[in-house]
Amino acid sequence: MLQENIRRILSEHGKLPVDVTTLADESDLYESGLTSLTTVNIMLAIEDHFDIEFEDSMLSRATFQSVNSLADAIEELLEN
Amino acid sequence: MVSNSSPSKKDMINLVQQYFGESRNRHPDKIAVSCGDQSMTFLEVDDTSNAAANKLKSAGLPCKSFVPFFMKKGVNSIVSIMSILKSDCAYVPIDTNSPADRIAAILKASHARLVIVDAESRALFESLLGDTTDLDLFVIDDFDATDCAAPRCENLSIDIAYVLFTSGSTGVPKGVMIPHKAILDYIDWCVEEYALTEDDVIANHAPLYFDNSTFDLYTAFKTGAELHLVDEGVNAVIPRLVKWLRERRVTTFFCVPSVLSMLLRSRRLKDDSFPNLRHVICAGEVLPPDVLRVWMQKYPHIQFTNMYGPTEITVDCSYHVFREPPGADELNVPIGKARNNMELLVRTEDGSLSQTAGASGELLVRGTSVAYGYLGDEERSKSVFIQNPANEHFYDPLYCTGDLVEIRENGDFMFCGRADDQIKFLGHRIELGEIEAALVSVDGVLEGVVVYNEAPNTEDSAIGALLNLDESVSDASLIEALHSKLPPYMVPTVYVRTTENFPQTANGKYDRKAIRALVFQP
Repeated sequence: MLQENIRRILSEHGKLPVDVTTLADESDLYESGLTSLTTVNIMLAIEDHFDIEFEDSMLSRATFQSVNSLADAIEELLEN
Repeated sequence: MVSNSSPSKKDMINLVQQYFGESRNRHPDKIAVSCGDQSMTFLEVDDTSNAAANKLKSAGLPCKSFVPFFMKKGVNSIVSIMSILKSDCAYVPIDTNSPADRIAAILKASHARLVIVDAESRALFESLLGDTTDLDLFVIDDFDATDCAAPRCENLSIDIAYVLFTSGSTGVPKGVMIPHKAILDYIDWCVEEYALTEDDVIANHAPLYFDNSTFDLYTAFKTGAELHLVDEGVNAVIPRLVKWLRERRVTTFFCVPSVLSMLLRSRRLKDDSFPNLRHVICAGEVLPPDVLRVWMQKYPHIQFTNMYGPTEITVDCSYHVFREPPGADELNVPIGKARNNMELLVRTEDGSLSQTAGASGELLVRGTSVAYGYLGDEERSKSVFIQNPANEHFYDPLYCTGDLVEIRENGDFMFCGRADDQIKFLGHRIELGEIEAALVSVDGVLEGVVVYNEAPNTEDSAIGALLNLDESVSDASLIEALHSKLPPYMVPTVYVRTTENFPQTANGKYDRKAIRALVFQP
């Protein structure tokens, strides 16, 4: 499942000081400790894992804000 | 603009807001500042800030007050800064991501009676501090702007323009006081050195509570160039900057080196990504030669500079412009030579001051742009702002940076590390002592030492802590408590618990090297 894959990437590359498995799908990742540096790592890991490339318009806080917002973006890219 | 000043007097610039006034007179309808989808012309910023200053003055805001402003970066921040300066006051930028306790400490140290907010940030401020303060709030984008005449400014160039709070090793942030004359001297030099004009487009990436932003704001105001602020949405995902810099036709980009590293790793850089960019200036942390080399090879049309300087000497006191990419065997790039009106001295092991090649020791800085010290903290000011021992005839302060340097044969200064526990992490200047103070103030923390693991790859660098904790304290509750005391970038991400004695050196101090090895064992 998409959300689970995202969680796994977050736990490997997000360096979040919280347990990713306890985060709700809507939880604000930036409030949970996501930084500009770890966002780059997450972005690259997701692109590699799903073999996609985020469009420039998607490179914003809104996309990386939560597990669900990431899932929406990935789904959109996978459909195209 | 009506002025009673004689022509000769009108040409004198004594206060930083006069840069803006001159540019406004030259081209009132040009865009002065842009952020996200908002922008304002020179005339609009000038009129709004005049009206706000008149309002603040008539409401009894005393001259030379320290006035904090609290809002997300945007055009309102620039209007706030100009309004405060025109009220003959000094501005104090507040990080909206800081926890309430830290903001309260800054408000207290600033003796603030009034805080400038905008309509968007007001609710956040009130929810963070509403119950604990009886401050007046002035909403910069929602007030009755009636009198837009330029207020008469009483300040002199020796008065304070801004106070920036940086991490303090005892747990309390230090407010560095910077006078107008220090900024004027720095900015005049920058504009001259980089031949900046009103045709330039200057980006602002640094947060406004970080003094790298001084370069961006005031070079733009002085020249009349457009200032484009990187908003939080773009900044959250650094690779977005590639397109942003191109779309905004940015010519001058001042950033911390970790931004260059992240952009390199982002896989978004194309050979033609930055057709307009002329200058990339790095400051705020160590510039890795490998990163610089790739950038210089990829973009030969861009001039790269490494600048160096702590907040206490007004942004930068030395610089090195690269004529060619650093060699593959170079482990370190120079922080260069002193800029105009600043002097660098090395305090060697025997306590003497030297400027000769081969000298190594702590860097001391003198010159026009040295700060006035820390607001309300005379003792700490005295310990690092000292009288130049070579000069007994007049007041001549030297700032002791705590940075270790050596002077090369060609006179270039090289940064070699810190004399204390201050670190640079993602451009943020952090005292590990401040994190430790927060840590041990959490209930159930019996002992705690904070260490930093600096990796060649920024992505692997991290702050960690060795802890002796009461069993009842969970990791989650500890982290939550730390988030209520520290800005997010200061909260450690690696925690190791122990009930044994912490490693100590022979003279009974914490053995930080051993503790670092314990916390960051592979």
